[in-house]
Amino acid sequence: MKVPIDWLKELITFRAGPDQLADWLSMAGLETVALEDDILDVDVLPNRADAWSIRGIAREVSAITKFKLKPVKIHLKESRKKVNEDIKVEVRNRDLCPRYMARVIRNVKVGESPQWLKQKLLQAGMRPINNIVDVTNCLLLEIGQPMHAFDANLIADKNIIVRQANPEEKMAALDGKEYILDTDTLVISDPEKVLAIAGVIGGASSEVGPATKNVVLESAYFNSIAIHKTLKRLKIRTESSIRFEYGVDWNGVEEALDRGAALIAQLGRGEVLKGKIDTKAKELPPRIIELRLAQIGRILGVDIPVGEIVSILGRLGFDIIQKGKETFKISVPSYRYADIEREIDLIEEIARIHGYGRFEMTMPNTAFFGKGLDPQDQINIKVREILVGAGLNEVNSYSMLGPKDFEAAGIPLGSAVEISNPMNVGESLMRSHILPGLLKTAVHNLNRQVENVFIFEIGKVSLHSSEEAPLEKWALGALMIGSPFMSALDKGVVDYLYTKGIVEDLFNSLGISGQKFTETVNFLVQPGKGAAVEGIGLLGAVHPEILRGYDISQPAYFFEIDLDALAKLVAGPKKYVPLPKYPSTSRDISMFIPANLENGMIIDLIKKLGGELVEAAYPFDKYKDSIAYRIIYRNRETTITELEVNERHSQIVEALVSKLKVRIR
Amino acid sequence: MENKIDQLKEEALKVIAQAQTISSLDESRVHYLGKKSSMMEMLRSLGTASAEDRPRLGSLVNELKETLEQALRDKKVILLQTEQNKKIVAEALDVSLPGKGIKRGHYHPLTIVMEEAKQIFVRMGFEIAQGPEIETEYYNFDGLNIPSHHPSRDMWATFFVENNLLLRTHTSPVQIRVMEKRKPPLAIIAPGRVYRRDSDATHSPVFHQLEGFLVNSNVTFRDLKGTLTEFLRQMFGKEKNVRFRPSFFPFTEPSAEVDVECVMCSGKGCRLCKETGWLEILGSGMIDPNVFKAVGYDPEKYTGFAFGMGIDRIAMLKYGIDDIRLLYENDLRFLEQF
Repeated sequence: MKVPIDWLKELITFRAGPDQLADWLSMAGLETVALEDDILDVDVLPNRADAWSIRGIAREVSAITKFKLKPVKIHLKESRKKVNEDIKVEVRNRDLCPRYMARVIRNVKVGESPQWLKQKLLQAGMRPINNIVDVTNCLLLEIGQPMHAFDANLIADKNIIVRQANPEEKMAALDGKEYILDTDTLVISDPEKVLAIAGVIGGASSEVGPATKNVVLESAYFNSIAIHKTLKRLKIRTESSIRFEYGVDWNGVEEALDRGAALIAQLGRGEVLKGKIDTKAKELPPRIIELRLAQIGRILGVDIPVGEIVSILGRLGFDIIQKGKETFKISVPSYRYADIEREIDLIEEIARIHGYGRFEMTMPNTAFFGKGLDPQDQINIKVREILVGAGLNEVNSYSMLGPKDFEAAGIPLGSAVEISNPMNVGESLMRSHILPGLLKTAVHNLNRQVENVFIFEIGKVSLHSSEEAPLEKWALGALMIGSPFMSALDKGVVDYLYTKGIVEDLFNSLGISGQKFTETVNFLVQPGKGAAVEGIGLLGAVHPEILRGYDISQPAYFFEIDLDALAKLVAGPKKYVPLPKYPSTSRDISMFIPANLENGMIIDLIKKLGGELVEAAYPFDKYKDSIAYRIIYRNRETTITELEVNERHSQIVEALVSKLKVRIR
Repeated sequence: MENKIDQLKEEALKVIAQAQTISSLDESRVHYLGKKSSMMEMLRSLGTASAEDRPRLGSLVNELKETLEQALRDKKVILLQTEQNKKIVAEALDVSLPGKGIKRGHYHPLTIVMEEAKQIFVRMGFEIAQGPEIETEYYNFDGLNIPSHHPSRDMWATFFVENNLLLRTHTSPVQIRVMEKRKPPLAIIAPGRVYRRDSDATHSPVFHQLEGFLVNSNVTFRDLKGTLTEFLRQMFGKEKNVRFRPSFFPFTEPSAEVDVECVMCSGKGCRLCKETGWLEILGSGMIDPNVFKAVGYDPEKYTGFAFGMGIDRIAMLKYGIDDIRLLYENDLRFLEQF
C-alpha cells in the first residue's frame, strides 16, 4: 500500500524523515520501504485490517511515537428534503450485509476533480476519474472504508435491494467485463437489474458520468468471508474488495458516508438530502477483554511495568475500563474488531509496541528426555554417506513428473497420484519411482558434454492405495553412466557387477546380510542383466527401450531401493566376534561349468557340504571357459588337519561333479 | 703354503671385486669359501703340518677366510644398492599424471545446509520428527488456526490432489501430528520437502523447510529469541547481528520475523539485502493458544514457541546462488562444487 507522506502529515503531526518512518513501522510489524518522492510502501499482512488506510498508518505512528493524531472535522450541510423521500433500501440478507447506509446528493455537477485531489490519488497510485468517484476513492485510501456512488436516476423505482444473485445472473461491470454470478454472490440491485457486486465492483448500468445529476452514495459493512468467497470465484481483486475481505470498521461506515457526502456536495456544488439510510439491526456490541497482567510475563518472559502497559494500550486506542491489581478490563476500538479478540492478541500488541529488540535473550531448558533421532532419518543419512563414498553424486529433483515421463520409463500411469491444479502438464503427477527424474537429470548432463553420470536421489515416492491417503514411501534411486574413475587412463565403465557391488556394499555397511539377488523380469531392466532383491529393490541395466526413449546411447545401470523396507532389516547394535585363534587353509578347484549353472548354486552346495569347516568360498580366477573357486577351511576350535581338509574337500568335489555336473579341469 | 694363501687371496679379491650380480657373488662364495673350496682343503691339511708351523699357518688361513668374508659382505651391500638404484630408476614415472581411483561423490548443497541446521538444533536438545508430504487440509491449515475462507489461507498457494488432500505447503503440520500423539515437554525439529504453486528465480514449486517447536510449562518469548539467535550465529557466524520484527502467522502469537545481518555486506546495504542490511531468514512466534486447543493441550498450563525456515534460501545465501532452479537442475558441474 502506497502512503504519501504529505497525506500522512494531514492526519498526524510528527517529525521524522521517510527512512525513520519506514524503520519505525517495520520494527512494529508493518514492513515498510521508503520509496522516492516521499512515498512509503507498506506491506499490510492479512491480520491488520485496521492498517489498510493512511489513517491506520497514522494511528500506528502515533502508537509507536506518542505523536498525536489530528482531530477530524466534518462540515456537512443538509437540505430540507429528506433522504427517504428519494430512495428506499431493502436488505434481504442481513448476515451478508449487516449494515447498509446511504445518502443522496442532488443537483451535482460532475466534472474533473480539483488538482489537490487528483494529486493525492495519483501519489497513492490511483487514477482520477471524476469529482464523485474520486471522493469515494480518497476516503477509501484515507480511512479504509470503500463507498460506491450510483447515478440515482438510473436506479429503477428508486429502490435499492441488497440480495443474493440469481443463478447465472449477469452483470456488465465498470472494468468492461461481464461477470456471471451465482446465489453465493451478494449484489446491490434495483427491481430490474444488478447495480453492483456488493463490495467488489460497480455495474456499468448505474455508473456516475457527465450526465449524472443526482447521486446515491453507498457506505456499507459486508460479511468478509462472503466477499472472500466471491473474490475467489470471480478471480477479481479491487481496492474496495481487499478492505471488505480483511474487515472494515463498523463505525467508519458512517463517518465515511458523512465525509463523502460533504465533500461531494462541496466539489460538485450539490445539496445533501436530510438524514441517512441505516439498515443496522443493532449497535455494534462492545468487545471487552480481560487481560491478566501475570499472563504478559508468562508469555513474554519479562514483567513490563504497569505504567508502560497502560501507555501502550492507550496509544493503540484501547480503553481500560477497569484497572484491577491483577486484571485489566479492556475495551477494543471498533477498527480492531477484526484482529483483537483474545488476551493473547493484546499481549502481542504490548510486545510489538514495547519493541521485540528490548527483550533479553534466555535459553530454554531442554534437559528433558527426548525420544532421540528419527530412525528413518538416520538410515537416510547413513545411506547418503555410503553412496557419496561409493562415488555417487546426490541430486534433488522435483517430486512432480508428467505423463510423458511415466510413459518414457514404461511406468503405468494408473498408479500415479494426480495433482488437480498443476502448474503445467509436465508437473502434474507425483512420482512413483525415482528413476525417471534421474534419467532426466542424466539427459541434462549428457547434453552438456558431462560424460560420466553417477547420481542418486533419496526422496518420497507416492502411489495410489485403497486407503484414503496415498501410500507414501522413502525411496532410493541411483543411475550410473560411463566411468567411475578419476582418471580417463583408468579404463572400464560401469556394468552389472559394478552396480551389484555398490548395492552389496550398501547392505554390508548397514549390517544387512543374506540378501539374495535373483534374476528378474521387469519393465525397467534389460532381461538377463538385472536382478531383484525380494521386497527391497531392483538393480541392473536400464532397459534399452527406455534408454531409446530418452535418447541415451550409452549403457546405463541403476538401482532402486525401498528405504522403508530396508530400514526394517538394518541390524541393531553391533557385537564383536572374536578373531580366529587357529590358522586356516585353502583349496582351489578349477572346473568347467555347464550353461545355466549360477555361481550362487555352486556356493550354496559348497557351504552346505562344507558345514562349519568352510569359512568362505568364492570364484577367484577365470581361464578360457573354466572358472577356479577357492575354498577356505578353518576349524575354530583347533588347528585343522590335512586329513580333515582333504576328506571334506573331496566330498565337495564329488558332489559338484555328480549333482551340478561340473567337469574338473 | 704361504704362497698359496697369498695367491688365493689375490685371485679371490679380484673375482669378488669384479662380480656384477648377487648371484655371481654367491657363486664366488661357494667357490672360495664352500666345503669343496681350496681354502677348506687348506684348513683340513693343517693337520698334516708340523706342530711348529701349525699355529702360524692356522691364523693365516683364518685371516684369509675373514678377509674374503668381509669382501663378500661389502661387495653384497654395493651390489644390493646398485640393483635397488636400477629398480628405482626403472620405476620412475610422471608424477603429474591424474590420480587413480574412484571419484568420491558429492552431497547436494541442500543436504549440506539441512544437515548443518539439524545438527545445531540436535546439539541444543531437539529431536527429529517427520510427517507425510501429502497432507489433509486439517493438518496443513485448520489445525494450525488457518480457517478456510480466511484471507490468511491465501498466504500459501496450494497444490491439491485426490480426496481433498493437498501437498503440504509447509512443515508445520508435523507440529500438530506430534502434539496430538505426545505430551510436553517437547523439543522437535521437522525437516522436509514442501510444495507451493509458485515458480521464478527465487521460488520453486518444490522446496525444503526446517520446522521446529518447543513446548513446556514455562517457555517464553525470550527463550525463542535466545534459541533462534544462537542457531543463526552458529549458522552464519557468531559476529552476526540478529533482529526480531513483529509479523503475522496464524499459528503463532506473538509472531516474529527473524533477520540476520546481510552475509554479503555485513549490514552496510547491498543488492542482496535490498539496501536494508538485513536478510529475512526465519518465521517464528509463540504457539497460538488455538493450536494448543486443537491438540488438546491446556494453554493455561503450557507455552511454547515454533519456527520455520526455508533451507533453499539459506543455501542460496550461504553459497551465493542467484537462481533457485540451479538446486533442482542437478547439473553435475554445479553439484561437484560442493
